[in-house]
Amino acid sequence: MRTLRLGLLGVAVALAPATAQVWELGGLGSYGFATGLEAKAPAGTATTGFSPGYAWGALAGHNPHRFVGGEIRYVFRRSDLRVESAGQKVTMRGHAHLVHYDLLFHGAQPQAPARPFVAVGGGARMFRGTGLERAVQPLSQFVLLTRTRQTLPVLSVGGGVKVQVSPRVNFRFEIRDYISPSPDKLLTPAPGAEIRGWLHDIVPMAGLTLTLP
Amino acid sequence: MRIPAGRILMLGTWCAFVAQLAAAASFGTVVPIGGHVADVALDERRGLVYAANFTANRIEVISTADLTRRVPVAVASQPGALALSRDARFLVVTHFSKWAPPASSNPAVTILDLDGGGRRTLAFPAGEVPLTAAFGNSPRALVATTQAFYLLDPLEGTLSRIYPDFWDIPRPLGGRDLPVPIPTFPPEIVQASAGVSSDGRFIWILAKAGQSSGSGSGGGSTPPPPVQDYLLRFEVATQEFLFIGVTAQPPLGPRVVSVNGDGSAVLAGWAIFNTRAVVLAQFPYALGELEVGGHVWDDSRGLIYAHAPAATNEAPVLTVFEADNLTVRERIQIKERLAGRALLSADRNTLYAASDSGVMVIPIGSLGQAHRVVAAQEAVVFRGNSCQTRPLVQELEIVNPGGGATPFRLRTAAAGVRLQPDAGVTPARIRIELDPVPYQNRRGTAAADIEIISEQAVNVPPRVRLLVNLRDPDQRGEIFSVPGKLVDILADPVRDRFYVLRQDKNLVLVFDGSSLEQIAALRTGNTPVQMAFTLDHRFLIVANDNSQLASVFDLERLEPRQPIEFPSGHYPRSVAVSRRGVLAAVRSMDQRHTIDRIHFDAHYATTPPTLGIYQNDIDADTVLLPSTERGYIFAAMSDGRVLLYDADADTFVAGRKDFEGLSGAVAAVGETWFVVDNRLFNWSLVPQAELDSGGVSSGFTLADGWGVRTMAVADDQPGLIQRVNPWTQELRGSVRLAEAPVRASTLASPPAGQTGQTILPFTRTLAALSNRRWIVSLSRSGFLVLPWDFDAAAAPPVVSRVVNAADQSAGVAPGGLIRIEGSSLASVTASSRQTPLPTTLGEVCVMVNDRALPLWYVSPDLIQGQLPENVTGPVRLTVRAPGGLSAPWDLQILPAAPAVFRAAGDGTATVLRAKNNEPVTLTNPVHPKDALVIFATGLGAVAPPVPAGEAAPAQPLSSVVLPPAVRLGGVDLPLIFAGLTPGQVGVYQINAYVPDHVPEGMSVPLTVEQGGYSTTIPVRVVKP
Repeated sequence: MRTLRLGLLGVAVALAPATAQVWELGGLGSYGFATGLEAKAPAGTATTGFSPGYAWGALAGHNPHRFVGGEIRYVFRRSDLRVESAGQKVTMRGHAHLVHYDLLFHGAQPQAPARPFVAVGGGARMFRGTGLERAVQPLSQFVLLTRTRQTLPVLSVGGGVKVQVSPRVNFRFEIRDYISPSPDKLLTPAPGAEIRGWLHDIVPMAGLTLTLP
Repeated sequence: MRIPAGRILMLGTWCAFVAQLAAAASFGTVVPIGGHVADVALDERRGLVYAANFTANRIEVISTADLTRRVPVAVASQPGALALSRDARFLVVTHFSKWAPPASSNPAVTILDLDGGGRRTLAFPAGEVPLTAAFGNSPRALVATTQAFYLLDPLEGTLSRIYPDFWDIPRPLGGRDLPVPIPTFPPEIVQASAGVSSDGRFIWILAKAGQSSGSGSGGGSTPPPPVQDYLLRFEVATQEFLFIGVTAQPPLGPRVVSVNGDGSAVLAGWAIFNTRAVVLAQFPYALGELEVGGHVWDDSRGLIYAHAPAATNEAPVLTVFEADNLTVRERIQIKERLAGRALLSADRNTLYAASDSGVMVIPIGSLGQAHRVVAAQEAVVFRGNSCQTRPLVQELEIVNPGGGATPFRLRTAAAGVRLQPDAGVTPARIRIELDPVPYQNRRGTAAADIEIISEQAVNVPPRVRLLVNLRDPDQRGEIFSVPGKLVDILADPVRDRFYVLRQDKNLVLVFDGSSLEQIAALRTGNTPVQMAFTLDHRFLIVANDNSQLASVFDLERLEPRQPIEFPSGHYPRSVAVSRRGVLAAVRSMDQRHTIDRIHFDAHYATTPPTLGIYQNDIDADTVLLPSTERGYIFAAMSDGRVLLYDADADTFVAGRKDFEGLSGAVAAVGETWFVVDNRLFNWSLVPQAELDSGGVSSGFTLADGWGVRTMAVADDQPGLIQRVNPWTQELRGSVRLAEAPVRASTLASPPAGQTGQTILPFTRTLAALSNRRWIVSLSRSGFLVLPWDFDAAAAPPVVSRVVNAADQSAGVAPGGLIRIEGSSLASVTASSRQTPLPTTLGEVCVMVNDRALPLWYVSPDLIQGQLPENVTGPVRLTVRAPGGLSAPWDLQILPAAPAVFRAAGDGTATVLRAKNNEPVTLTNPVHPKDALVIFATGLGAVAPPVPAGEAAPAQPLSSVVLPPAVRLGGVDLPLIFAGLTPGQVGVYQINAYVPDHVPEGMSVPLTVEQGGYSTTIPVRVVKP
């Protein structure tokens, strides 16, 4: 909880100078794909991480400059915990909440019909395992899928394009890579096992935004 | 007819029996008539019974509606017999006016016209006294006199003398001359009776033979036998006589004739004859008193109702017999003795009989509504072991066969037996609790009876056999309870079966050799004694000592076949089949007992004049045995004589007497050796060797070329079984049996009523089954089943470690479950799910000091059981197994030693999350706010206490006396409950709550501490 509160404070600070500028509000939907992490154990190797799942989110942005803007975003990502090895796969129901602030660098004038952009930012991601725990979990020699929650910092990088549908409405398509450490409370390495790598959650998103004066 | 040797023994039994009856109800009503009844007739058209009052010279008239006497009919002197015409118009009365000179006689017959009220008297020639009369399905009555037979036409008032072609016997019919000494009763005087088949086609007459008249072809040159009766069958339609001369010892009493439905068989006195004069069955203990008793044949039910006392002073009992072989079905107490003819009403619901006081009326069809009481089981068997300290419990059901409510009481002299309740009203379920302590020093089967007493019941309730067997683990054999007197056993060599002869019920019990379940019961003649297979093993022959025939059964169909009839007066006791001759040792009524030759295909037997060079004169107690290949038949007699029949020579080739007496187990050992008791005879019958004696021999058989024999020391001690090489007399070690095999003395018991008992001094009680899996031994409770390798060596048990059964640590506590590890702890693997847990399992028991442990698992290397609930401190533990007794193992029992159960396999501790009822593991970690359930043992005393071996109750719960402390990562967990798990034996559970502030981790110590003893389990704790 402490991590989440700090994140929100950061966003509030960043928003303060933009209140008199052009605002943008919108909503996005998507289906994300997370890369697997390697779990190594004396018994062998397994892949762990999160299953693909839908995501949706909301954003509030401001564009104080012609080419640079910023926006704060909330994303809910359905992300079941998983571990698989040798054709065997075990999952536990789960999801994640992401809150992050990104700087957007546009490649065209605000009046252009299409404005490509790149985004980079950061925030926090809270992972939650919500499924049923069982005394016996297959592949528990690699990873223990755990019903708990864990919040970790997340790095957001990506890009997309804003297409003007009307003077105030933009269609937006973008793709993000949410990069975070492995949530070891949810994907707990079994004794003697280790999980290597960073979690990349690739989330292509599309949505509409409303531009306010 | 045989006078039972056990008569003296019976007196004591009868004293008790009479005392019991004195307080009991009786069935039926007596109508006194003031005189002695000679005969009765039933007039159902008028609702009247006529009774010939022999001494008062009148015909008593009794209403069947209210059993009151109506105005009697005065007749001439000594009305001896009555005959009512089929249309009930005429009543014929014969007058037995047979006075010794110089008194004059007026022999006559009176005809009473019941419709017209007329009467007519017809006289007989001087000296010709009418004895009896009967109507068949003809208007004319048959009248038998001392000299001739007549057909009496009541309508015309004529007598026509008929002369049967063969009526050339030397002696006419008889009867006693008057006057007679006091007391003498009409049946003893007239000594004649007639009976008619239900269809009226045949009239049977039983009459005493009179003095020789000097006429006829017989000429009187042969001295008359002690008692000579005539049994005649008259066919009404053809007027043909069938004449049977009967010599009976004792005389054929009661002097009553009861005929079956078609006239093919007649119960005359105490024996059922067929038309070839063969005794199909007889009352085993007939007294032969002409004036005592009576009977009637109920063909519709296949029953015979008879008052047939087995002892002189026996209380009057009406016995219900099964008509085919006189098996006793039930015994009903009646008010007084029957004394002559009995009749059944047309609806078969009421029996009218001459009795001591007059006429007895028994509503036999209402027996189902009368108060009766019986036990649903014939025997109650308690099986335990020498470690048994807890009471054994069985249930007994007491019922009224008719379904009504009958008060009763129960009584037993058996030690340590508690009947709850010991009185009640049927139907009732009685809990029989046995305290094993009085039986601790017995290792065999003790027997006693439970007596059922009821003042209201009209039946004689059979006693319930109570058997108690407490055995040591090294005693072999599984006991199968089969009630009754089991006198012979044979293994079928070509079918997976064995046959057991149940003498008291006249049955061959057929058992499957694999399932050991009874698959059939075959009805024999009366008092079967021994069985034999035919050469092709297709048929089973059974010798019957109270039937003049041997029963034959088709073993493929398990159906009876035409029996083998024996010569007159010959009763087969033992049968043997050789390659040529089929022989039977028979008891003969003339006391010259013989070996008869059976002509199997012709269904009869004959008596050879000699046995080769030997006289055909054997002991009554003779047993015959075929050799293995059926080349010889060996005969052993209780007087010490032995005989050998050679099938090839077809004669007896050897006979000796080297001993004063012989008895015990008999068997053929191969083709040319024979065993009697412990003695071995060769085929010249020369005693060759004597086996070591370890008791009274019971059975001997062959298994895999070795002899197997059983012996008994005493009935309530274990028997012995051992393998022996009969040719070298090499013995293998004796093995104790679970109970004693039967001996002749075991089988002999005071008989109850007319249930036959013939126990030869020779016993055949062992059978090696053809499936080579089992050896079956007749034993006190029924039979014992032993594995083929019953004498396989068993090493003594060795204990190597004793730990608690939960985590296998050393700490053990009262009421806790323990593991005993070692070797040779058991010969089999067995487990028990029943509660209370048995203290013997797989022939193993474990003692802690003097307490037997309840056991739930035994195997050769592991025993699991429960410690006593109230023993602490140093104790000694010993294991009793088939191999013997282990060395004592010193064990320290702590007041509390909690140990959490571990799952087999991965060793997971049985700490459950109540949320999903699954054990805590790395993938099912503990969470704050969880309720944990910890299953453990060794938490010591509980309140209320639960005896070891018994499942803990759910209501009330048993809580531990000393509560444990449970900590998770050093944080105390509040306890919800700590005590025994309901429904489980020796399993405790601790229910604890997990607070928020427990530490998190992959291996957080969960500690259970009690009384200074603690156990710790690492668990994973996850916090949100």
